[in-house]
Amino acid sequence: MTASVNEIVQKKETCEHQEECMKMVQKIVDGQASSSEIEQFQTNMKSCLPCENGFALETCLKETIQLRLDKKCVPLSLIECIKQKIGRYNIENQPF
Amino acid sequence: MIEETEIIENYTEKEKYKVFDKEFMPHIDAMYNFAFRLTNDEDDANDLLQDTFLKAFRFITSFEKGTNAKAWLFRILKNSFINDYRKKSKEPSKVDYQEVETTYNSDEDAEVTNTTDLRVEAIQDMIGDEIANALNSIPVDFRTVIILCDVEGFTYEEMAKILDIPIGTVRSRLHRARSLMKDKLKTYANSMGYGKTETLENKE
Repeated sequence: MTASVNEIVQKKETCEHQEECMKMVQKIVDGQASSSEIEQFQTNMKSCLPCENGFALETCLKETIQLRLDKKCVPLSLIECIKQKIGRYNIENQPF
Repeated sequence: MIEETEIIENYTEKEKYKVFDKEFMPHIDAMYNFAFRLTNDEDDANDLLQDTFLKAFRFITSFEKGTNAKAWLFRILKNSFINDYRKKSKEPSKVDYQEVETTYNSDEDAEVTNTTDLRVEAIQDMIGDEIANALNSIPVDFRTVIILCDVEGFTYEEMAKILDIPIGTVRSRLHRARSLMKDKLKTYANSMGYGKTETLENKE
């Protein structure tokens, strides 16, 4: 408990490179950053509260969109209609 | 539509159906969801999906076996949407995203930092409807990059090809799209009482 309080106290309250850091956050969250970029950012994040908060927020937003957005299944009648229109049933009835 | 493809495969009739079944059909649900999110209308989504698959079959010789079928199909769907559906779709008022992107990509852009004070706890408490409403309320170009990146997991490079835009523009559009999403979600968060709590905490 004491250690975590000390850790928070030691972190920077403002980030002088926030513009660049937020671009890096986006790259990391989207899986587009290299391992060295990730490592460098993680080291920076340990001492920078805005970067830590920014990373947490962007990660949470992406995960929430991925998990909570309702996913629909295409109507079976539409699949049948498409297959009919491309002549799928005319060529043969057996599966390939 | 598929203008950049130079390789023309020689498929037999039987092979065409095989490619259609094995390479295209597995992506039909993802494409239906993409069509629905673009049009915000089930009937339009049905028509758009059907048009896309019929075009894909018609131009199947332009598809190189073993390449990224999902990205190829999404590109056709996106082009069909722009050409045939965008004008009549019920999309919210547009913002001048080109201007935003130009500003973001320029060397002078000093202000791209987070302008919202949305908190993680507020997002975690949101249900799917609130996320969907926020997504539907942002302009379609921004909505598109969120769907391609966050829902479908395309890389920046794949998105650049699907959307016919440079990778830098993909990045800036995503950044702007997420800022818009956060603004919308902040409104919901305030209505859920997170803003009030924060204000009280700040006063203390």
